[in-house]
Amino acid sequence: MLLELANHHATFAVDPVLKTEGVIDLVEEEAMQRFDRRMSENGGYARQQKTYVPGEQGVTNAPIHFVRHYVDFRNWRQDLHLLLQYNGESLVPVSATPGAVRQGGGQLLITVVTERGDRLQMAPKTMIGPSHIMVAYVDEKPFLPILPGHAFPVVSVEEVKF
Amino acid sequence: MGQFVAVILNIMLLLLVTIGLLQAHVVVQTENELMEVSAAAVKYISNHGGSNEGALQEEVRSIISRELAEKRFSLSEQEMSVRVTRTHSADPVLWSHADEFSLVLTIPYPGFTSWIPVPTDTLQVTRQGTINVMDYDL
Repeated sequence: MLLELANHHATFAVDPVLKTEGVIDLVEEEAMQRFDRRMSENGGYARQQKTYVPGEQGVTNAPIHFVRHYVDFRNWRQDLHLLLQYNGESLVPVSATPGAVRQGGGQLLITVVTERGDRLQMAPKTMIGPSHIMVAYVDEKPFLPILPGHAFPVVSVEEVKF
Repeated sequence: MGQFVAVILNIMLLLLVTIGLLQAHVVVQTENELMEVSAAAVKYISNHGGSNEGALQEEVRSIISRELAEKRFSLSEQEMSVRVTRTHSADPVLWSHADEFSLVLTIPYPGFTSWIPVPTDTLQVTRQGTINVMDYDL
């Protein structure tokens, strides 16, 4: 939910010059700044390179690892398969394989491979325009070392707002 | 006599610990519910906008009460105060595209006993959002 609110705000960063020419493109730097702002306002998270570190008020106390992917106006009709790997310290993109072209917008498949080699397949999403994708992985360490930890991926896809 | 006093002290200590735990649990749960409701409300405003401030306030109220009823939350709607203010706006009346707003939900501190001193007397959650509705769609 937090990611969604932040991603929603981020996708307003439309390039004003290209927009006058009928091309909708995202200014990625500005989008990231907007994303950061909302993450800190709504959840108290601060970004350190590729992770969001929670503040004292946060619902989790584990850092959130994330990977950002932008599908621009030339590619959003094409299917896309994102493969990501979590290695215990960070989430790394492995591959982004484009697939068939669909008129209504491409389908987005995201697979996260965990530390133990499990392949987590996220529900497929259909893009309806140039999209900003945020995949995050939360790895909460257990309260006591003997208890099992709690780890899960989250994804937010928002189309660029114009 | 000494034993009797000791037993009473023991019982009081036992009670105090459970009450303390219960209090902490209630606060944490209420806070989580507040976070969830506020996030849902922000999302709703973001996707619907509003044709004027009064109507929007009404709508926010109704979405919150619906949300509370459907999710069977323990929060009481009467005690909750809702404030929506715009932090950035393009038009003085319409709440439309790329306007930014902040939503503040406040409730009285959820203490069920006055024995335990509480840090503040209200619990508050603030959320920021951005509207994504074109003015010609309103």
